[in-house]
Amino acid sequence: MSHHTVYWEDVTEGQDIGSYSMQMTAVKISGGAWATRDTNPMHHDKDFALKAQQRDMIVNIMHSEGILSRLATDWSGPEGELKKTRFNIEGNCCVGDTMTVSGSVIRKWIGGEDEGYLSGLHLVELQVNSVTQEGPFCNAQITMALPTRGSGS
Amino acid sequence: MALSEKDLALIGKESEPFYAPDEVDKSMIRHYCEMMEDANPLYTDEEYAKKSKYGGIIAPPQMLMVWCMPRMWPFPEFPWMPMAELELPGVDTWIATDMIHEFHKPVRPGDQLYYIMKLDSVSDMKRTRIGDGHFITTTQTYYNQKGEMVGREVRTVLKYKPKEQGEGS
Repeated sequence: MSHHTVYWEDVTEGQDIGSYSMQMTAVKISGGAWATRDTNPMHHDKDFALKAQQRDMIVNIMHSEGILSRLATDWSGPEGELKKTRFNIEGNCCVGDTMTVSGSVIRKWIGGEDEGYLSGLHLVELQVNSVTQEGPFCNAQITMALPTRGSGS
Repeated sequence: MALSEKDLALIGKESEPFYAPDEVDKSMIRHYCEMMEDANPLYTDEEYAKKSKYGGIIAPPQMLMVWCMPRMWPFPEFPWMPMAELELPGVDTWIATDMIHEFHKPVRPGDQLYYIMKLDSVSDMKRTRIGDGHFITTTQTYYNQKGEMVGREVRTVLKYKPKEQGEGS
């Protein structure tokens, strides 16, 4: 199987990085919670979630982060490296919701000397948003290091 | 409501190391990718990963926190954690609200991870859509078996008392 590569030189700020949708069933939500070892009943037990003022069982934070991070690496190809994510929950995503994830490039730069482990890397920052039919669910700013055309990788 | 003196004194304190119950392993990586529908070949395609600069499978970086989630049974003995010592009377339900992850080094199958947690801040009681509660921010620094820092996480959770049905906001 061949894989595509996005090179840093070819990226422009404002560029769209695509989107996808996922149907969130009860199995998907509790499965995502188990796959991330999250035993909070909010993600497994509808009665508990209703008492906790949610519409239904909700998608957990590690599952959500995984779904958002996936858009970044789906776009970049496997040579793009996830370096940092800033992840924020705005609403919720429950059983029966369709989650749509989309994003764009908001910044392109070379890591400065004061940026520690990012120093010298060819970086992009992506804004990734997730919404359901009810409104905003969560969003992330994801920093990735991309290969350059000169690097030969 | 303001914090108790005991709770205030815990802010800035660090935990003892908390060890992941298992080594990083390929089947947990695959279960994770299955739920995310993540086809990145570095996570699950041996052949591709071997030829990559990593020389083998790596875990999705964003799984950092997953490896160190405590067992449900038998429930682990936790080291001293400032978060667990908080009194915060009247709130018993919690939910994560935001999270920053930094990925410093690749995590590979066979790695034994641990983290140290620092309690950064605890808010006074705040009113939210789902009930009144405290926002608690902690930093978890993750290390591998060689003592190398692999990543860091700054997490905020809301510990709250759910509103009664029909109660206004």
